[in-house]
Amino acid sequence: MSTCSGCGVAQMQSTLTAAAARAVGRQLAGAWGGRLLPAASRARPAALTGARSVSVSAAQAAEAAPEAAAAAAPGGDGAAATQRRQRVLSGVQPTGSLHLGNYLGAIRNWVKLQEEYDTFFCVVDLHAITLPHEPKELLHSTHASAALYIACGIDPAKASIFVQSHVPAHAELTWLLSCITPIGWLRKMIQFKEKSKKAGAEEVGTGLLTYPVLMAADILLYQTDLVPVGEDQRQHLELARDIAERTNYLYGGKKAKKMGCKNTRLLKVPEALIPPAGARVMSLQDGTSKMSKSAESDLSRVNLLDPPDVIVQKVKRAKTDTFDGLEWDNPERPEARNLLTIYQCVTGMTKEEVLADVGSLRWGDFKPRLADALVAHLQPIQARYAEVSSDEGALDAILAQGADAANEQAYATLDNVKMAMGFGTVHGGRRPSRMTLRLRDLIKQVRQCKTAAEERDVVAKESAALRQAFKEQDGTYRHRNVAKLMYIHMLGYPTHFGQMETLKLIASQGFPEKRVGYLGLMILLDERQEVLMLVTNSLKNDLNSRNQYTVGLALCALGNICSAEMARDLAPEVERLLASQNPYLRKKAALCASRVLRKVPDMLESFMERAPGLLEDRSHSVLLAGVTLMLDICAQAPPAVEAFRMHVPLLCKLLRSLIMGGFTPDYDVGGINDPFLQVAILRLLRLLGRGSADASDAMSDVLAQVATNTDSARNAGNAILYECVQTIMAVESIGGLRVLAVNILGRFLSNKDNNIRYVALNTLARVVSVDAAAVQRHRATVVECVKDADISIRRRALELVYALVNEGNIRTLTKELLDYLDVCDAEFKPDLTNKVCLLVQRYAPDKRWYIDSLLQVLVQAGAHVKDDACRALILLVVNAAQLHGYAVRAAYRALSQHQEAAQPSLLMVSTWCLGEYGELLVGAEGGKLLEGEAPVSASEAEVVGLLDAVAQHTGPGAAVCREYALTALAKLAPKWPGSADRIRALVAAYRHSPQLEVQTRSVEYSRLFAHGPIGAQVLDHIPPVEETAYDASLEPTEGSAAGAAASSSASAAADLAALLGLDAGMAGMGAAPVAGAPAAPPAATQASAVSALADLLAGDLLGGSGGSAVPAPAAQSAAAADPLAGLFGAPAAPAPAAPAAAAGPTLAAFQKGPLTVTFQLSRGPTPADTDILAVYSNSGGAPLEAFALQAAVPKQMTLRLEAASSVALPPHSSGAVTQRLHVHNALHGQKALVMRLRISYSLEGQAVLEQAEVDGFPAGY
Amino acid sequence: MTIKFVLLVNKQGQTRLAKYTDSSLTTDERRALEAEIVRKCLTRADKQCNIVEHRSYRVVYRRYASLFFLMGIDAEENELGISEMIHCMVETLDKWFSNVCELDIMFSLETTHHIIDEMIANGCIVETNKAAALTPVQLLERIS
Repeated sequence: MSTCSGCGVAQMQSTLTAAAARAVGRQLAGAWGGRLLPAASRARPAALTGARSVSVSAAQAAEAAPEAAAAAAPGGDGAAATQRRQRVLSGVQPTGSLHLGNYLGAIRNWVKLQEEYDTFFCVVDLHAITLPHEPKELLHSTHASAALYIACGIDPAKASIFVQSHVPAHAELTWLLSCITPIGWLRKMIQFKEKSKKAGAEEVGTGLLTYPVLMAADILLYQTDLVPVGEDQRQHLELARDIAERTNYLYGGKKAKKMGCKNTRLLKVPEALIPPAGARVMSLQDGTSKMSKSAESDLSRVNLLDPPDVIVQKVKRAKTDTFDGLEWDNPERPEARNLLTIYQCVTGMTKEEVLADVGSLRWGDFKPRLADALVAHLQPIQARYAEVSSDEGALDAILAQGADAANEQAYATLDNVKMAMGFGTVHGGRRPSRMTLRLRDLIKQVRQCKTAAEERDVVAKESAALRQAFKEQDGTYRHRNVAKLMYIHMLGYPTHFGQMETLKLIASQGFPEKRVGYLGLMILLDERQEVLMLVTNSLKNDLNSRNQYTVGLALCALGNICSAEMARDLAPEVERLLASQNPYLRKKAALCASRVLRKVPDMLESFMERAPGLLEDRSHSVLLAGVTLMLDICAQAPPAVEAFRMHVPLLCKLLRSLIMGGFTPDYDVGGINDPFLQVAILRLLRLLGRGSADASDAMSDVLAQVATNTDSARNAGNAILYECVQTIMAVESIGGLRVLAVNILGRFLSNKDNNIRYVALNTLARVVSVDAAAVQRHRATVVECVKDADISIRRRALELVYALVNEGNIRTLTKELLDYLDVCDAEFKPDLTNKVCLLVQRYAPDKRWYIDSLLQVLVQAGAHVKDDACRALILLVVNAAQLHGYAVRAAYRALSQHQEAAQPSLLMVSTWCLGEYGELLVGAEGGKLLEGEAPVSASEAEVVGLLDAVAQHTGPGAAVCREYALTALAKLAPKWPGSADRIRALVAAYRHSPQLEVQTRSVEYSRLFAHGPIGAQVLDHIPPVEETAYDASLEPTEGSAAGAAASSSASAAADLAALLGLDAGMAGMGAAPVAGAPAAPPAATQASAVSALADLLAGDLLGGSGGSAVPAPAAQSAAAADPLAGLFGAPAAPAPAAPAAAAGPTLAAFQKGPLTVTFQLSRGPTPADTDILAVYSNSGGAPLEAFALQAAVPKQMTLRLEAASSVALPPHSSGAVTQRLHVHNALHGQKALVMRLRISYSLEGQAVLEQAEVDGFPAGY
Repeated sequence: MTIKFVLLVNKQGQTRLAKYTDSSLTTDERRALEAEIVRKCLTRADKQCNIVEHRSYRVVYRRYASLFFLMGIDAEENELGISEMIHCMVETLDKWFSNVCELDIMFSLETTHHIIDEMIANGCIVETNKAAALTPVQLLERIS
């Protein structure tokens, strides 16, 4: 493969949109190391090659950049997207010496090819070893060849130059292809025949036979379109074509598709590129044979690197003839023709000119002229060669870059072929080798962790090692250690111990260290940390460094983390750098300045003067930074806006030049000129135009231009339009412009792209305060957006609807929202519910609608309605006397229809209404039906049944509902004497409820019923409530404190408040309905006493098991029973049926004074259980009041007390009071029953307290 | 109008790179924030918009193969512009690593940080030209 092969594939400016890019990305997502960008949307980084060489300055790189940007037109939105460039691949064998024949015949043509095609130049070093070779020599000549090609004019910025062995895919594909290449095809190769004959067929390496396959692989890997070939290579190209076709036939097409290949045409079948009749340079010694490097005599060829005197010598000794003069076409004079050709090539004349110039000369005169021309032509090449080969690093960088580009293409093809042939693609990209091994190890270790705990372990171990390293002050690995710290930090572990290390790195001289140091500074530290102070000095030094990149690092760091003190110290440096000659520094300094300003506002003045100066800059990035700085200044200091207004014309001019200025490849995004800068300028114009008619006027033209001329097919264009609309709406613009903006918003809103719709909604929300009418026009669309599938859009739309609602449209919008509430997904419901509630509360046109809407919300999404919305509804009902009847009907309807699925909030609100105004439901008391209202027919029994059902409701919040139901029932009892008994029974059923509050209610109300008229009074309607006072009463009070206070307080009102507090604390909603109830002394005292008792008992009995007990009214022991039982560990038995008093042994438990206590024992459900019926009798002459008995048992037993039948013992044993006790003895059969009693009563106003121990239970109990 | 953070997160929700310009958050808060945001973004369908609201941030994200690029911005910033910026950043990374993949970013954390620093500073966009952003990085890489 001594000359070439060539290839060219389309330069792939794709027309992929970002969305398509995403889609392709998704296909790749399976592979963990999958590329992020699909191949089609990327561009080969050709310009980078040039820029990477050391000698290339930043300025040159910037010059090179246009091609890069043009080539890499981002996002696949490229303007020139459709133009495909064909790809050409040329390979050259590494050789230290190219001769004139190679140069004039081939290389010179390639230089032209690179302008026209997408070219890859490959130094095919793998081909150089088919015959014995010298390793050292190979290495040298590989480099020399590459250098020589660059010297001959191949431009790394235009073509990729790489070494074949740097792209492992060549070897890999060769194997795959050689397995499908019949050996006969290879045996036919003339080159093999010739060379093996020379060396002996049995002796030559297998490579000599198979290298044509390698050559085919070289060509096919790059999906080459065209291969420039000479006659001698024709056969090889044919072979490559055969192999490609065979591969496609065997594995391509549908078969490949089945294997999941992206590209079903596996290999492109290359065509021969017939070079433009290249010069055929013959040997100097023999005009009939080609100039060849394998010819024996060096005199026969002119090497490109021959020094001038050697060239002169060789030309002088070239073969001549005896004719006079020189002529082109005499077949007997091949030598003359040859030399003329050379002369023609190096001087660039036409044949005729050559003939006119030298045709008449004799050999002796012609040769020196030829030699001079040759030397003059080769001299620049030789100089360039010397330059390139002297900088090994630069050459390496070029080759590395070329290899990267080649690898990308090669692997794309190889992966595809492998997939088609049934090899999995786990190739995860090349592993970059720049990192220190240990960091790599750490990352690997962390990656292998299967659990969070494992990861923690690994990190902890590593952190310990790092600490140790830092302690030892070893500088060699500091750099690497800080890098590891950053990684650990990223994982979310503490890294403060390493902060000092970053500072040391910053202070060091080496560039890599500094760089890691600054990175560490930005990532590991923040401005709160005091160590930051220590870095100020280093920063100052670096800001004054002569190396622009050191300064850049320092500026970047300062911009990200600077604190107020640092800002003050370093502001002069930043200010100086703002005026630097170097655009790289100016842009960084500008952003740094805005940070400094945020920290130290009093620096404002000096920066305010400088900032507009940046607007004159030529560099886009400096402009952008300047505009950003001005934006920041405006945000910091509103007066600056005034001062900056004078620059509006300049900004407009800038903006106009961006829109109109044609194509600038550097900052082009999909055909749109620097959208980022445009957006920033528009934003600045917004600030400057707001509130100033003059400024707004000055910018209106350009705003109109932006709004009309920006291409809305691209994301970048839409970003600009979005910004522009905001600006138009914010400044004092004229109507026509506004209309334009609103139209754009309308277009946005109907766009298919969700991102666009999102920003449209966002903008509308901002605009609504300026131009509500414009937004109202889009109301229907906005309401549609509330139902979108995307939560971000829904949120925005909901915000907007919220802003759009007013008294006029509340009914329709709420209806829409309620309709949607039914179908929206769970995540969105709370938000929506809340918003609807707020809207209803704020804009309700009348109270009836308010009640209807909120009940509707409660029905549909009761779980998400906040307590205060429920409270507000109840409050509204209480205070709207004429709507009581309506409210209760509505509540009844809601409850009876949705009872099954009802949420606690609906249950509570409607139960409350029923309890309060239930009587209005039955008969004609409720007044006439309102207009449009459905009639309700309900009987007392139905209502009571419904409430009973509510009480039996299960699920979350059931306890509170039960309380509400009990309260409602209690309230209805006096109003409906006919149902009173049923209600009593229902209420009483909860006396044994395990829920303390429910039990309390049950006991309280049962008591209250006994009080006849007082009870009825207590249970009357709640009077209208003062809202503010009501809100104040909702202040939470701590439950136990309330209980304690209640026990000592005689004031019923205080009790009630405390009780309510307790309710509020424990049950939340529970407070509301009872809140307004007029104080009911008996109920209140009782209830509070119960709470107090519960507390006291809890305190006492928990401490001494079975010891002391406080005096408490006997009546409350019922309520106490549960907590007591709980304390002793018994499972609370819900409402146990009192077992029939089976006849059993009787035990005299206590006898003192007038009081006798007898226990009648009976067996419980198991042998371990004993039921005791305690009978109290009073033999004295005076009644015993406030009788209470408490009992305690050892800890192996549990005791449950039921309520006593009365708290007063009549005198003269005229009536017995009974109380049931249930004892469970866990050690039945081992330990006998034993019990301690504490009895309290008052006799003639005198409190008596007795204690006794009861044992002697009969055996078997 | 600033970018508050840049996050690179893979499909599994592991953070691959985090860069904050908002220094008010502690390490733990950041970790929590990342987890919440990632959970939100990762569960979104492809067709849904690339903007998610979280706490006071708006998060603009884009997905490239297995990697999500997220930027947290304040309410003033132009969401579409940021989306374009993310793409620009990815292309720059792609140009640097030629065929950037998750592994490249993981194993060349410093370089990635450096590239992003060249493009975004102090929460603002500094440079959007790929070649210009990469020039300093190239030189530094060569020296180290």
